[in-house]
Order: sequence, then structure tokens, then C-alpha cells
Amino acid sequence: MTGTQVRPRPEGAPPDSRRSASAQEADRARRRRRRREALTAYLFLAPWFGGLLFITAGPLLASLYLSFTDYSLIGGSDWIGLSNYTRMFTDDPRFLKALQNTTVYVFVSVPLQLAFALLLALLLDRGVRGLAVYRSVYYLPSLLGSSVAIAILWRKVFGDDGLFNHFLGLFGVDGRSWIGDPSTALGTLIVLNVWTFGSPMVIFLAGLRQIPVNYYEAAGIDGAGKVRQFFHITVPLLTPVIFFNLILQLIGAFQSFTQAFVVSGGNGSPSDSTLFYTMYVYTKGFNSFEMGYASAMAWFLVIIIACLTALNFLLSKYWVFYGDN
Amino acid sequence: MPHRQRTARLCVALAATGALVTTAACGGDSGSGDDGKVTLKVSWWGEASRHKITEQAIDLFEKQNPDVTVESSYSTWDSYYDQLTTKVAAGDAPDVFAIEIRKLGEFGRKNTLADLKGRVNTGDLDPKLLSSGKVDGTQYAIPTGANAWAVMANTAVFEKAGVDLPDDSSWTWKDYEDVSTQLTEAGGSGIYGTQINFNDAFLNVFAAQRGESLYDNGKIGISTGTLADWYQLSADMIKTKGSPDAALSNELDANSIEQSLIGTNKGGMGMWWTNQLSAAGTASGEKIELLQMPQAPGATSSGMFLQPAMFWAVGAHSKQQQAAGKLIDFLVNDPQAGKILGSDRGLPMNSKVLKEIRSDLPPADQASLDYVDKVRDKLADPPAAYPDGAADIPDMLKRYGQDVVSGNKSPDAAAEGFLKEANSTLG
Repeated sequence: MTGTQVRPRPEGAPPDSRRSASAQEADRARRRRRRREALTAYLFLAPWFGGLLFITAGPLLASLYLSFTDYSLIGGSDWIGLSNYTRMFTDDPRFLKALQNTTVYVFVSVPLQLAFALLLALLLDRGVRGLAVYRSVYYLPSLLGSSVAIAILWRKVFGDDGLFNHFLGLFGVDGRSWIGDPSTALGTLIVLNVWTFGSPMVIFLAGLRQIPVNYYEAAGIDGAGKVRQFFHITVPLLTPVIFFNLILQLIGAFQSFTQAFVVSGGNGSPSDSTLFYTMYVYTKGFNSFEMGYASAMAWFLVIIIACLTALNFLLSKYWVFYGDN
Repeated sequence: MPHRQRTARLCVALAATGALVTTAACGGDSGSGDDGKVTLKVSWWGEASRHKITEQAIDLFEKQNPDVTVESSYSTWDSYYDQLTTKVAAGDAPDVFAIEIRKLGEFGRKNTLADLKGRVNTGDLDPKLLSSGKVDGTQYAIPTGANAWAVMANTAVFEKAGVDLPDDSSWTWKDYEDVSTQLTEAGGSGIYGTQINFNDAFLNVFAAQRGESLYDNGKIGISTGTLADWYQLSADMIKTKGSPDAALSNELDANSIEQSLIGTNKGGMGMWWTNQLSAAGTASGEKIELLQMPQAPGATSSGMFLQPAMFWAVGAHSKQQQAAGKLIDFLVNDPQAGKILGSDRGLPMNSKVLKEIRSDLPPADQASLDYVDKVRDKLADPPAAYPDGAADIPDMLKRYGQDVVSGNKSPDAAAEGFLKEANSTLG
């Protein structure tokens, strides 16, 4: 056969008129196969699309409509235009407080969490014995982190008579109730989120395994030290994975609910220092029955997350390196 | 039940796909079947022990009324109102359900509850308590029992510190503070006098002693001065070391009574509802004494009141009003039901039932009933159904309180801030 070494033609490039008939035949076969694969993929995706359409989309659109009304869950509703949206910024200091708490939480805990995850992944990647065990142990908090049980445990760990203070006591430091003090309560939740570094760590580990060893060998021969290798080989080749983790964790952190809800006893105690955005939405909707206002806040959160994600994608052009460009 | 749920879900699904569904097809003719049988849906919140005895009482009701079938659904407190309000909003409210005073007003005023006048015999119920089930003059709900807000004292902590229990028949807020400070000093390291709280019941008692009440005409009925004094009380308690530092006080306030100072034998006093007495006793393993609330000097009222623990109510659109009333009547009036239910939904306030079952109640409940009898002549009226938006008030009160004890706000500023925010939330 002639022309068997033809490289796959980039999508959308003009067909090569000089190519042989058999190559064109192979092309057609490939296209057919791809169509079949696409069909299979859509078939597998169908249940998800069905769920989206019939279960999620309805309430989603309904809540968008409700965000322009004063719907109160057990009463009627009137169209009030953008009032709910302006109220957030002009007439609701608690909303701003919740937004501030959540922003601090996200922008402090996510970078720290990713740094920890990367550090641990690097250590584990060095071929420790019993890697599988370590991986599982470090991954465990990711599975447990957002559970009620862990949040209750956190109250104990950072309470006045908690584990953390007993630890400080070993060094003669006098602790206090970290969850009862408005200036430190949010900090304990940040620590909790950082502690759940397992899932980005596992993804980092997979990313590290993708980097060819011969890059390091070549760099080593050229006299590059470990630190240089890390910054000039590992980090650039890992940027797509870092980017992926960043987006995922940012979105997740903005939606944190359980931890704050349990640690604060459901009301943002003390002094609203742990009042998270989603918690405030929940409280307004199901405690105050202001479902219209809660819907507006929920949609504003969607906008925030969408903008942030879009911004991230824009910025990614400048720092994320995909092997082929 | 599963059948009806499936029907409902199918209706939603059909509506969602845009299929034409006539209302007749989905019409909820639940219950009355061809054979004249009636099905009642009943909802309440609670823990496993409550579910068990309530089911037992319902079984007895079904045996006595063979034409009625009861379908019970229950949940924990945390998710109860989420489920109830969602069901009410979807037009699928239970026929009979439990509700408490904070949401009673709102449900009643929004026409989601049925008038129970004439449906339930209320002759033997405490009339004052019964009146708390009225919203704008209509008896929308029947109280199941009552609790009283009181100071609880851990007698072992007092004894160990060598401090006498205060004479609670005439003690003032100043006495309360002094004895707390004294306990902290005498108790040694890690022992505190009392633990502070910002419960609205506490404020209600405090305000009633000055002739004010928490809610008045749909707004907050408390003056800035009274509220500031009330916040000052907690701030002083911390300053004079009668209570632990602000951070620990905040932590304790969010804990259950099992982990409270008196529950862990680390403190002498605290305030709770009387239905917590047995939990405090079990957790501490010591004798916990109920004390009357301290008073303002020269107060004309003790301010203490009986709080309806919870109510039974009937959905406004229930097609089984009569059977629903019959079930509630059975639950609150029948001595056999009373025997099964005991004091699970508050101290029984039905004189007929109480006569039958008092000696069978657990010791803590008998102690609570003795306490109520002791203060009965001093009791103020129970609170009326709360105004709309009142569900937000307890947390708000606590938030400003935490601002005060953490030093972020002065008591005056907190009082002003609370009144402004609360009044804009209510109504």
C-alpha cells in the first residue's frame, strides 16, 4: 500500500488532491468510524441530557423567573423586576458580609490547597514504597471533607478544649476557642478545605506521570539542578493540570455549604464570621421564606462563577502550556 | 402513599413534557375510597423514640377507628420545615402536621391552616396555653404540651465549690451575676459560674419584668434601653468572670446541653427549656435543680411563662377535616394516648390526662411539673403567635449578642442595630 504513513489531517484543512484513491478511501472509513463513535457517545450521554432537560432545566428556569418576583414559598408571587438584585447591594449588609467571607475563603484556601496537593504529589511521585497506601490515605479527606461528621469533628478539634489547643499546650502556648472567636472561625474552615487536598493531588500525580523521564535526563546532563528542573520542566508541562484543578476547586469552594453550616450551627456564628454565600441563600429561602430573593442570590452566584471561569480561560492563554503549541 | 406519590410524580413529568393533562386526571381525591375508608397523612419531626411512640398511639387510634387509615411521615428537625413548606407550596400538604410557635403565625395568616374550632375538645386543656394556638383570633392549632424557661443549677458543682444554692424565690439579676462570679472564683481552674445565652425566651422573661414583650403588633415590642441592658447583662457576666471568655461562651452557646457547662460538670448554671432537664441530668450524672428566673428589682411580673412545646394543625385544603380533628382530639385528650406519649411533646397540660399519667412520668418531668406548679401563680400569659418573619429573629438576636461580647459593638449600638434590622424583617 502506498501512503500508509499519512499523518492524520488537521481538522478543516483542505483535502489533498494529490493523494491516492486508497488514502481517500481510508479517510472515508475513518470518518465513518468517527461518526459511529460520536453516535455512541451521544447515546451514552442521553440519560444525562434527559435528566438535565426534564429534572434540572425546569427548576433552573423557574428559579430564574422567581428571582424577579417576591415569591415567598407558601404565598403568591408578584413581579418586582430587578428589585431583588439591587437589594443585594443597597439594602443588605449581610449579603455583602457573606460575599466577603466566601471570597476570602475561596482565594485563601484554594491556592493553599493546590500548593499542598502539588507538594504531596511531587513527594509521592519520587517512588515511595507503598505508594498506593499513601495515595489512599491522603485521598481520604477529600471524600470525607464535606461530610457532616467531619464538620462536627472540626468543632471538637478547634474548640476550647480541643485537640489543637492540647497540641499548642505542649509548647506552653495558651489556646482559646478558635471556632468561637469571630476573628479565627473562618480560618478553621479554610484549614478544613486545605486538608481536603487529596483529589487535586491524585490528579497532579497522574499529570506528573505523563511527563517523559528523558526530559529530566537531558536536563540533568546539561547540568540543571532539581529546582531548575522543577520550574523549567515540571511546572510548564503540568500547567494544563494545574489549570484544570484550579477551575474545579474554585467552583467547588464557591459552593461550600456543609462545613460552614455545621461548624456555625446553621447561622454563621459567631457574628456572621462563617456566613457563606450558599448558606445565606439557604437561610433566606427556607428560613425566611424569601424564595424570590434567594433565587436572585443563587443566580448572582452563577454569574460570579461564570465570570471567574471565563476570566480564567482568558488568562490561561498566557500561562497554560499545551504540549502542541 | 407510594401510589399517590407516583401519581403526583407522573403528573409533574407529564406537565413537564408539555402533554395536556386535565386537572381531573390528577385531581387529588386521596383518601376516601369507594368503601368509605378515609386516609390521613400525618407529619411530624423528631428522633427515633418519638417516632416509635407516636406510631404506637396512632395504631391505637386506628384500632378504635377502623374506617381511618393513617399514613405517617416524619423527619428530623433540621429538614422538617424544608419538606413541610415545599409540600404546602406544591399543594400537597399533610392532613395533620406538627408545627411550632415561630412558624404558626405565618402559616395561619397565609391561609394554609384549617380552623379547628369545634373539631377538637379543648375543655381539659390549660386555657392560657390553648390561646397560644390562635392566630388573629382563630384556633388554628392545638398545643401538645408546654415547656418553661428556667435556670438550671448543677448542685454538685455548687457543693464542691462550697457555694450555697441561691434563694430563687426572690433573687435579682445582680444576685445571679454575683453568685456566678463567686462560683468561678471558688470552683478552681476550669470551673465557671454560668454560661450565657441569647435565647429569645430569656429576653421575653427579662422584658416582661419591665412590662414589655418581644413582639407587639407585628413589630418588636422592646425598647432600646431594655434590650441594651439585656445585652449588657451577658457582657458583664464575662467581664466579672462569672462566664468564660467570649470565644468559649460563643462555642458553648452553639453546643447541645450534653456539652454545656452544667452537662460536663464544669459550671454551676445555665438557662434552658425544662424539657432539657433529663438530658442535663444524664450527661452530668449529677442532680440538676430547676431555679426560677432572677428578677429586676421592683418588677411587677416574674416574666416567666409556659411556652407551647409544639402544636398539631390541620392543612387548610385537607379533604378530611373531620377525621383530622378526630385524630388530634385523640392525641391530646385520650388518657391511653397520653400514657403512650408521656411528656415527649412537652409537659402534658391536659388536666384529665395529667391526673392519669403524672406518677408514671420520668423523674425529670415530674420535677419540671412540680416546678411549674410552684411558679404557676406567677406565670405571665404565653406568647401569642409570632409575626411574619419571626423565624429570623432568634439568630439575629444571637448575632448582635456575639458582637457585644466579642467587643465589636457596644450594647447600645447592638440594641439599636437589632431593632432596626428586626423591624424591617418583620411584617
